[in-house]
Amino acid sequence: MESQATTHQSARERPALLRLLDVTVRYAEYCALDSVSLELPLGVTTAIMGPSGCGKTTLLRCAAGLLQPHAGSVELLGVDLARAPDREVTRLRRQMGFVFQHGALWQNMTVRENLLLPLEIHRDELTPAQRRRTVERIAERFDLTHLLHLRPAQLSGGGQKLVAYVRATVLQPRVLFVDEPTTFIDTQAAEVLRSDLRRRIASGCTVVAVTHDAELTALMANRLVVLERGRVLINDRTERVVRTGEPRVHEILRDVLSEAALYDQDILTLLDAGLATDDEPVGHDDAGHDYD
Amino acid sequence: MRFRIRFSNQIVGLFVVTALILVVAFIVALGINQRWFEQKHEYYTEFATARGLTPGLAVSFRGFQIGQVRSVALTEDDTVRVTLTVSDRHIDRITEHSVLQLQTNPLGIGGGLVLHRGRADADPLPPESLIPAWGSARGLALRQEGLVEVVAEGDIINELLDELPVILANVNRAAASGTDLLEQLRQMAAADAAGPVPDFIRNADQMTVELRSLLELASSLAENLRPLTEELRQPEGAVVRLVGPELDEALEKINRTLEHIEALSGFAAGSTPQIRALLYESRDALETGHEVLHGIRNNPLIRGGIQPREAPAPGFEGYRPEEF
Amino acid sequence: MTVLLERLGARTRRVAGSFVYAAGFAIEVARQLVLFFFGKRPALRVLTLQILFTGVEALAVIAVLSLSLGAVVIIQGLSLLPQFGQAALTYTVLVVVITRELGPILTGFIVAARSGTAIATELGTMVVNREIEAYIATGVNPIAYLVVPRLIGVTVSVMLLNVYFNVFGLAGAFFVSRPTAGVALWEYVTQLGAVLQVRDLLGSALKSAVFGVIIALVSCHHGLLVEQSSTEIPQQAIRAVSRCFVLLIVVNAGLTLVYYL
Repeated sequence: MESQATTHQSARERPALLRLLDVTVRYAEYCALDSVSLELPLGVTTAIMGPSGCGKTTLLRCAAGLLQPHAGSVELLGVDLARAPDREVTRLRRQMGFVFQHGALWQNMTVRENLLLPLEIHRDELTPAQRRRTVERIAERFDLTHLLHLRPAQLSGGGQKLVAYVRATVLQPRVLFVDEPTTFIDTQAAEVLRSDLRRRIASGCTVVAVTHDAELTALMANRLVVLERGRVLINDRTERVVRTGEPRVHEILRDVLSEAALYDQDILTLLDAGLATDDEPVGHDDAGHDYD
Repeated sequence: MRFRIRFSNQIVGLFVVTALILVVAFIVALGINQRWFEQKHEYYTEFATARGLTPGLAVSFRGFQIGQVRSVALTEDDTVRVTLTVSDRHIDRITEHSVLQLQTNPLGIGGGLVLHRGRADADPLPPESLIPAWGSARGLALRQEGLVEVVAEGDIINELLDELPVILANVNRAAASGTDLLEQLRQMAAADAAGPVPDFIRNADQMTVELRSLLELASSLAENLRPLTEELRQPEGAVVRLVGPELDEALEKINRTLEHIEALSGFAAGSTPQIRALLYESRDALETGHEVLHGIRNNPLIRGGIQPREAPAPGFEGYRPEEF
Repeated sequence: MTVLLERLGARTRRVAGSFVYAAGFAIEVARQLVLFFFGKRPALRVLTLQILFTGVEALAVIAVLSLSLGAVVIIQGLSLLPQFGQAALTYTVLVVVITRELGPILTGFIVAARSGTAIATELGTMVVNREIEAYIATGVNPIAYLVVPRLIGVTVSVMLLNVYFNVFGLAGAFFVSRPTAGVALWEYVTQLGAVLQVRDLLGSALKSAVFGVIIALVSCHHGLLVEQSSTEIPQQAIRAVSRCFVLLIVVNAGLTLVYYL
């Protein structure tokens, strides 16, 4: 309910990306999400943060409709994924990408096949040759060409992560869920990934990220959701979160960001400096430029 | 591994196509073998009971399957009508005066209808006509007229059981003739009361009575043999119970009696060779009966079956009791 | 007492719940199976690989097993049955043993042991690695893409392996009867052809199809029952195989009963 109170920005009347109502998820006795209600606007890059095991990944999986909550309802772009007909769900998936924490690449396929499958499912108007060319071009951009014939198990953790990111974005989604996109990967690859994310955001893709990456958060997140023990501590525009009077929020942000960021700056200063402007980009550049 | 995955389509294709070819080959071989495509001709026969008759039952001729039973139905006049098909290649074996015999195996397996063809000069029988059953009035008549070419087949137990009533009737008849003979002898003795002959004859008279009662026993035993064959279908039947030591004893007694009679006949040999013949035949019959029992005791489910017996040399040529 | 009742009640609810879940799973599989035959099939490749792993790679085991089994049956038959004057029954016994009974069930057992575990383990690992969720996120129905091709692949494989089992089994019998009893090929084929009925072949094929469906459904179901941890994978794999075995035996008995009714 507090989230409802804090989304005073709804005066701007952005269409909702995501609406969670009293969502509860339990793993055996352990309650991963405890009656979470949350609304995220479309077109606003959101970072979900919190200490380990606070339910960030679970929240993201629920939001993307990958996990059926034990109670409560989830609406993504106004569609209840649990009840919507197959066709509707498939249409929605077409516009959505999900980068898993550990990649979750399909181990029985090569990298190329991993990247091809989304195109095979959703772009059947393309010929197989066109699909292959698309994959090759994208791979070239991420410097993955030499890995295309390998199986995921033959890649490093970072390599897998990068491929997973490419797989999630190969369809040029409108909404991108990313779970710890920059962990495990080397700084150079992380930089490639960050710049690609920035480009996507600029072209109108809504990104919801679970992250410890201070730089990523600072540069892109217009909105922060802070979780603790399965509950939403705060859900607001970044500048408001940074200036909140809640000491616990500051504690968590400091812990979480400094833990992963590895450099010794004042995190909040960085956040402050990198704050996005008040007017987030809303326009959607949905066209897939990468296709023939 | 890599090879397999790269050529998985080809390998799987080969796997599937080979299996399909094998299936088709199987079915074609089956079809040729079971002559699905051959023309079949229908005949029918009538039995008193449908026991042992099932659709699919083989019809054989001299051990070869020439057709099979298509249907078994009860008609309105309470006979069992059995329709059978005979394949085109064997149609010329079905001639006038042919008779069908149902053969059941005591073990309950491998039975079937056996065709006994009419004598060589008989005309072929057109399809859709009746082939009389072995036990029917028509079948009996054909057999008695000697128009049927009977070929014994099936196993020894079946044959013996089939023949048992005839054997017993022969024994009975032999015994009756023996009594007649003894009666004549006694009359002779009464005419000439001196000497050893009367005593012997009185003795023989008594023996004949004894023989008769024993034969009755054997006859009732034969009655028991029918249910016995039924029980044989269940391996743990009452075989052992029935074929107890008393049977052996009975047979032993019959044998002894016969020996007495033989001694008697030795006495009367010069004038009445028929007695000898009669005794030989009785003995033969009894031995056959003995074999039946022996065979049953050596239950074929447990061991060896019946040893074939060498035919005993008859002591005479021909036997005509009516001329006695 | 109340505690006992409570436990019983809870257990009943759990069992009933798992039955409902399994039934729902089967219905969804059936729905996707229909869609597979009428819709687009990106899963064709999965199907090919499944037949490769389940069918082609089990062929060697099946061949060895059925060759030796056919040999054993004919040796026993030829040494025992003529004692009763029923040598011809040897072929009937061969057909009953190889074609009607052991062919389907032994192929079923072997496939359950080889591919049942493989499928349950593979799907379980996919769940733990979140590969299933990756399929869902990509808009691929995991039932359609993972379960249906496995169902078809395993069923087709069991049916084809059963054909090979029959061929090898009957060939094994011939290879033995030739030197021991001097049975010529033509005589063997004729005798066999006389007792082998089309309904034997059909019954055998039907059985193996049913067994294939059972193996695929049970192993996929158990594989997908894995929730989070990799320690659940071997447990579910074992459960899948043992459940397959029990179901195969029971269903085989049922089908044999139906055959003779």
